[in-house]
Amino acid sequence: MLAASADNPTALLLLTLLVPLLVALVLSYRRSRRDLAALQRLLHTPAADAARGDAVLRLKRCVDGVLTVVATASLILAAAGVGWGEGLVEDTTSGHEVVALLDLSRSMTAQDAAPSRLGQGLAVLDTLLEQLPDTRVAVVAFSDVPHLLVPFTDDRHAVRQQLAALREAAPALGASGIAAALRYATAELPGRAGARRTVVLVSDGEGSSGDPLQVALRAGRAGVAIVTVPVGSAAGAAVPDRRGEPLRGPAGAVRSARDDRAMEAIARLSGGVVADPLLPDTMAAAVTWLRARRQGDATAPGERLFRVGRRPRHALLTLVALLALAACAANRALRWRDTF
Amino acid sequence: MWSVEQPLALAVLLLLPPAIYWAHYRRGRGGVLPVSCHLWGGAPLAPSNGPRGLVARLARWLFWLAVAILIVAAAGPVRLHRERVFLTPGLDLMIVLDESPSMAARDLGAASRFTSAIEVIRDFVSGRENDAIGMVSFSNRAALQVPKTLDRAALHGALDRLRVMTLGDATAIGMGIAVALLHLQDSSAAGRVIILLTDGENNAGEISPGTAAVIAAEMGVRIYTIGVGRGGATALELTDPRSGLTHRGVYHGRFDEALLQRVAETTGGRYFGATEPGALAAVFREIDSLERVETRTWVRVVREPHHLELLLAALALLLLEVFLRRVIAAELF
Repeated sequence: MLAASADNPTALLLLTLLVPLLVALVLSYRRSRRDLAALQRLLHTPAADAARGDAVLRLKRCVDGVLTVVATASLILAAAGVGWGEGLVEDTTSGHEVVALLDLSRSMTAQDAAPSRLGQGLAVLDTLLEQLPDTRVAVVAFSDVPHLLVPFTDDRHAVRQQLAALREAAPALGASGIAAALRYATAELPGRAGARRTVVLVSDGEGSSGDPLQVALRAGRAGVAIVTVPVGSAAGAAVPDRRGEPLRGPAGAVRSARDDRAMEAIARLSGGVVADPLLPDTMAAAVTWLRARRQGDATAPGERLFRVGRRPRHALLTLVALLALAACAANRALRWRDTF
Repeated sequence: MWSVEQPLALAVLLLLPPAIYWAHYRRGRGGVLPVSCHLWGGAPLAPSNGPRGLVARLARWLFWLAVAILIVAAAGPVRLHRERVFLTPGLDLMIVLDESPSMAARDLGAASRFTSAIEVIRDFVSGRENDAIGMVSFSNRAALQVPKTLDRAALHGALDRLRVMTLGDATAIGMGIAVALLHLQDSSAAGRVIILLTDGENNAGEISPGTAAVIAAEMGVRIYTIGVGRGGATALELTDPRSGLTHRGVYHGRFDEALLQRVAETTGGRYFGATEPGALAAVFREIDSLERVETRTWVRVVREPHHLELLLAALALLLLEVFLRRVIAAELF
């Protein structure tokens, strides 16, 4: 579990605004001191009064600058949805549904798993789905873009038929868009209202576009867990072309190895687990985990459930910004040392 | 519907007028004069009415506007959506549709039998929110088009893709029923129903409709059979999906009413004839009323937070205020 994370990490780029803000505040401070000195000279202010005026100006402007920066930074962090710590999050789900998300990119045809990476993944999928007899299942295949092959259904015959068809003749379709596929499976694919969704991702983890980790993080926050099934081998293998010959790129034969780190991070960030076909322990753990997730259904209808999740802090950060701005206003409005 | 998570936080807005008065209008406030009051011999300095003075005043109000927006954001504005969650499962329902060439006949109004059937089925499935509905089509052979699902978008997509004659040019009613039964066999729903829609006689397939009906009866699946078309000479126009050629002609033939009645009776269902324009819709309405099941639901309230927009607005106002106050108006304090 991360110590802190953000819902909209792109908004953190706004923190760069603090640099021009600081520059503007410093330049304005210097200009103010020059203006005050000129005014005091014009008015023949006694030296003691002038020194006291300058001290108050420095103090008030420093306090004002610090509070302005604190308020701005807090607002940016709040807008980015920064959160930390763990807390109970209301869980209003009921029922369980599983999306089988299959990578059909060209690298899945590599022969470092028997009969192929896809074949290895499909076998794992069969094992996992057998443990969930009363769960609705959807099948989505992806390469560049996701395609819905079977909508959510409890018709296991149709699901088995589709998986068998893929086992027989799965097309190798090009690049692997894991991020887009995960987004579709976790957030866009219509399911039953209020159902708890689990995505089983069968892939070698080689994603060419998007940020799958960010999608996984968001999915986890929305209560959607991802079980990853990394297929292939860490050593990798040559990727065959349509004729079965090694695919050639500008730098020679194209090789592909499974990306264990990416697959593990996707599972971890979403609150799911890894089911590694090469490690029987992880397979057994994934089966137990899936059974437990399915049995979460055994709750009275309408009962309020809570799960542990990352605690959002936007309210606290907004309050900090408000207090900083209130202190800013007070600093400007209070007369200091009977001067300004 | 809009709401706020912490309504009491909005009470802080009431403090804004006194705070503004205290900061900008009370006597003896700080940050107003650039030098000590007594140096001016007691005469107060009036604020400038020039452009810089106006900018300074504008900046002041932008600051308080940002504060007001932040207070609203802190209250947690949310948009509430209500979602109906079904607590009891509905029926499992398979629609078995004839797509043989004769379904292109136009004797039920301007559209063909097939198009009319598709439109009526579309309305029917839209009205049965809690039933898992699947679809099988048949001609020479039968194929599952979409497994029973609650995903209406997938079902409508399958209906859009259906074309006459993609599975051949004969009528294998028994095969259509058998494929539907295959996909209902694992069903644990309280009720399992097949709606069979055809306009012809069974003339293909390895399984006869009678045999399929007996299996359905053993499985406890009710079959509603619908015979479509008037019979006699009917204008027909269809495009062969394989060759792309359009054929026009006159079709002579009628559905096997006795067979459809027998299938329905064997399974405890009912037979309907749709021989007039509009009759098909009436038949589906009747089946809809016959197959109503009691459902228990609860309403789940989904909260969609909207503080982000307010936070960004407040941030923009605050930065603008700093720019106007410090860079343009060049205020001393």
